[in-house]
Amino acid sequence: MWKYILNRLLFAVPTLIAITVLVFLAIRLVPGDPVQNQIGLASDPAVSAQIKAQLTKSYGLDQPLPVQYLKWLGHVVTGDWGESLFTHRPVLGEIVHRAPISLELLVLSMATSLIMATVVGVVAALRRGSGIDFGLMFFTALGISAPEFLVGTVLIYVFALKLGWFQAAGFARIEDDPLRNIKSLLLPGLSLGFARAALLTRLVRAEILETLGQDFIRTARAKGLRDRVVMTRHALRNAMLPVVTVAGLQIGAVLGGSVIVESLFVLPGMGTYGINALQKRDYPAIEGFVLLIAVGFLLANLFVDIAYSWLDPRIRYGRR
Amino acid sequence: MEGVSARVLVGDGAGGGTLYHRRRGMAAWRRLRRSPPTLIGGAVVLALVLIALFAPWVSPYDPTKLQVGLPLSGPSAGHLLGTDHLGRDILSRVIFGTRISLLVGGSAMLFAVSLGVPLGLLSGYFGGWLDMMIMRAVDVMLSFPFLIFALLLIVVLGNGTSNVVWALGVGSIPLFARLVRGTVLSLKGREFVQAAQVVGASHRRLIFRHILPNALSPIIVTASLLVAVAVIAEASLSYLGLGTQPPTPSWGYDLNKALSYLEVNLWMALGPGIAILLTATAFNMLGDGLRDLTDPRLRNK
Repeated sequence: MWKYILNRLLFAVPTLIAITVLVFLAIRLVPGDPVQNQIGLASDPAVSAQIKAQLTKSYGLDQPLPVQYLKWLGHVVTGDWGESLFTHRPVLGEIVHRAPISLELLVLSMATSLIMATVVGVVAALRRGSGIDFGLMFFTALGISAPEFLVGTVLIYVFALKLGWFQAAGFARIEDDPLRNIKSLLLPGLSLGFARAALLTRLVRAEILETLGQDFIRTARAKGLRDRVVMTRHALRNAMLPVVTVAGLQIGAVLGGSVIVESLFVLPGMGTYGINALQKRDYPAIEGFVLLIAVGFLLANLFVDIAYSWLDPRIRYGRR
Repeated sequence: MEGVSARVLVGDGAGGGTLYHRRRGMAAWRRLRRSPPTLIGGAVVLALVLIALFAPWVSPYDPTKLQVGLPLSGPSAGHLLGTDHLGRDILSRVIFGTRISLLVGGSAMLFAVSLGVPLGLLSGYFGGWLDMMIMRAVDVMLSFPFLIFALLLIVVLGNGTSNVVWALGVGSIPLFARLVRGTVLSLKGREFVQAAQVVGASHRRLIFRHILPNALSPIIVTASLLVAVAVIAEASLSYLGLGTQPPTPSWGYDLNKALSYLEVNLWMALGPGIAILLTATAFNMLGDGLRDLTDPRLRNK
């Protein structure tokens, strides 16, 4: 087990380096000259050229790209992620302050979508072929295709504007006011989890139907176990492994979607920060945002891999 | 795109030999008739394409013309979906929005297919260092969530409709490269391919006559699912103000604008919202339906 984990960690290192190279290059590939942007249009071309050369040198932009990259990487590793071009606040500090909110949103949406998918999927499987099953499956077919901002808009209209159960704005951090925090994250979490829930519901239903047809279920029934026990202890448990696998594959989509949901609900998380940075072309902030998301994604995938190998020993001893 | 890979995995149809069958036309049609999702999805896609093509003739007003009606009025005989905050006809904007949506979805898909499929073929067929290089590049691209990768490319390329196509297209290459590589690897081990190799078929003949035709159905299925993803991603990027720029009608951007007027005219949000949902659902149904049709494990149900 430990050997497997160590192996996976080692494999992550080249990917991590590639991620940093890509982020570094992407920002440098942006057309336009950052130094020129900084000084604007000076009246005297000779003076302007002199200032430009000076600034270029002081930023280290006159050095070859690999040298610039290594310097930049050194800063990143030591926690100096630069400061925002607009607010002049350090990027890393801002991100550390905001990341917990996004993480909370992520966990909440994953949890709600898994719970919804399990309940609805089991109901649909039990009532297979009925009107309920058909209706639920039609609903999930739509749900898979519903973008986060659309679901969010509908939720805001129904629950905030019409019913008045939630305020669309007014966020509180969990350490300040836990109740209000959960309340302000519920609708965003649902918007983010909805499409995932729809996808997973179909999978839960399909897996349960397949599992119910197998011999060990017949055995369990034959020995006189009640339906509920057969469903929870035997069918559901076996049906859930592929469901968890696919839920793990959805982490990337959730990370992308959280950016949109956060900006829709004006949550002060990573996503809003990133989108603001993108809209204003605040390069140090964009770098920090993309880096953190990519590294978070890498770690999440690693965690999922390790979780499977723990759940299913065949993976541990299989390939590699 | 994470959605696509998940669903390709859920119903992993290697689909060997289905599209390349004798009398395939007849057999395919007979099966197609028994698959309502495929038919409905296909019909809606066809209708959307026609609407996009004939938008100027179908739409009642010029979508960018201001004050064709009283701003923010509800549905009426003159404006079936009402008007937006600038007095533009919402129905006309929704109709013209079809163009951007399908153009971006379709072009991004074609771009990803035309680069991803050859890369997957090379990688799977020849293996070795070529395979390793292609797959490492794919791994790096996949180490970013799809939308974040697209956002990063948008930063480099700039906002705008055509840049969204590049961003989504490039971001989807790994999907096809991996899919095709996997299919090729499994086909390479099959008897009919090995038999062809033994009788001395050239690489070109092996790839184009034996392997590619049998890899087509998963490619088509994934392509259809990808269009749905790209349509949603385009709407999302335009929603964030990074995609299609006003005044060009785009569902995502219009929905964003509608947020401020939800209580005044809900149709401003419903129009583009339903359009996005309908388009993505149609391509998803088509893709899922085709997958079920071509998956040998599901065929005889």
